[in-house]
Amino acid sequence: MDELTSRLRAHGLIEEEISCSAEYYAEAIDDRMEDGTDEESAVAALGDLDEIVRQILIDLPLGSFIKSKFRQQKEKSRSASRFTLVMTILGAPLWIPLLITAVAVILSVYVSILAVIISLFATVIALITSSAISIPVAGLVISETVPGAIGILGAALLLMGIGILMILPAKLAAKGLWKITLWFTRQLRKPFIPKQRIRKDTI
Amino acid sequence: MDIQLKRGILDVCVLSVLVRGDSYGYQIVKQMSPRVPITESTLYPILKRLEAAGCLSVYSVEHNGRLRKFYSITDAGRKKIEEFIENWQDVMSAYQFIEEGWKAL
Repeated sequence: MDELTSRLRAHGLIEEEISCSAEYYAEAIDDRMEDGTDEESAVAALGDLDEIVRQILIDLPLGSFIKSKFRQQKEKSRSASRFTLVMTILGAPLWIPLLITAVAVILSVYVSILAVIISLFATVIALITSSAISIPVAGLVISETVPGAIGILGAALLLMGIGILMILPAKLAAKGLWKITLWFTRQLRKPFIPKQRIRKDTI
Repeated sequence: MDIQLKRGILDVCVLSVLVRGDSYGYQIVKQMSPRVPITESTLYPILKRLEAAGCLSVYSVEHNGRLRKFYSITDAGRKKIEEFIENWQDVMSAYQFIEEGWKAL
């Protein structure tokens, strides 16, 4: 347990997260020992310590993960050379605008996709609402002009049909964007997760 | 098995243990292992993820002088199981499509 907590601390996790994890694994060991296993076997049954640490890190919420990495980097960078520090500051006029540009481009693409999806949903709502309103209007004008009323009714039904057909693509587009968001957040943290050792998978 | 597919399936497997009754970590591992092998290290992030998603709730019970955490399924957790079962036909359809394509080679 000391080894687990010190590894988690080295990765910059906050004490609350470390104690939560330690409590869980301590309970797992106690339960196995109550079941008749000796302590050594109970600890071994939990699996490889690197894998335990990896699983804890990979499922941290993104905010907590980023904070832990900053904390970890803060510990390491205490011994950073002055030269590196000076070069970073001198190079700031170059890399800061580039970084801002890159983030802005990514965000603008994301927002554009989001805007398209919102427009799709707005179109669906507009089509269905306008056709729902047009049907009673057709009923009102039928006494004055039958062809006109039939025309209005036909157009209303057509718009409603198009609106209903558009629901599925809009839903799929929203789901797709959500998956892209999740994938992107995973990619952001991937360089910082220890590589998984090759082992026999359980499923 | 693909990691994403495995995560989705294991999440629902854990919920289906809890739908039978509240349980704790080691007991969940014991109940699942004969059919779906799982270790505590795999289970821990699943429980955290499900709790964050509101699919289960946690409470502590005193046991032999220590506190044991019990997990209980919520309505959101039950809904997740229902959705998994409803969507499984689509997965089977995709599986048959992939298998036919593979066998045709």
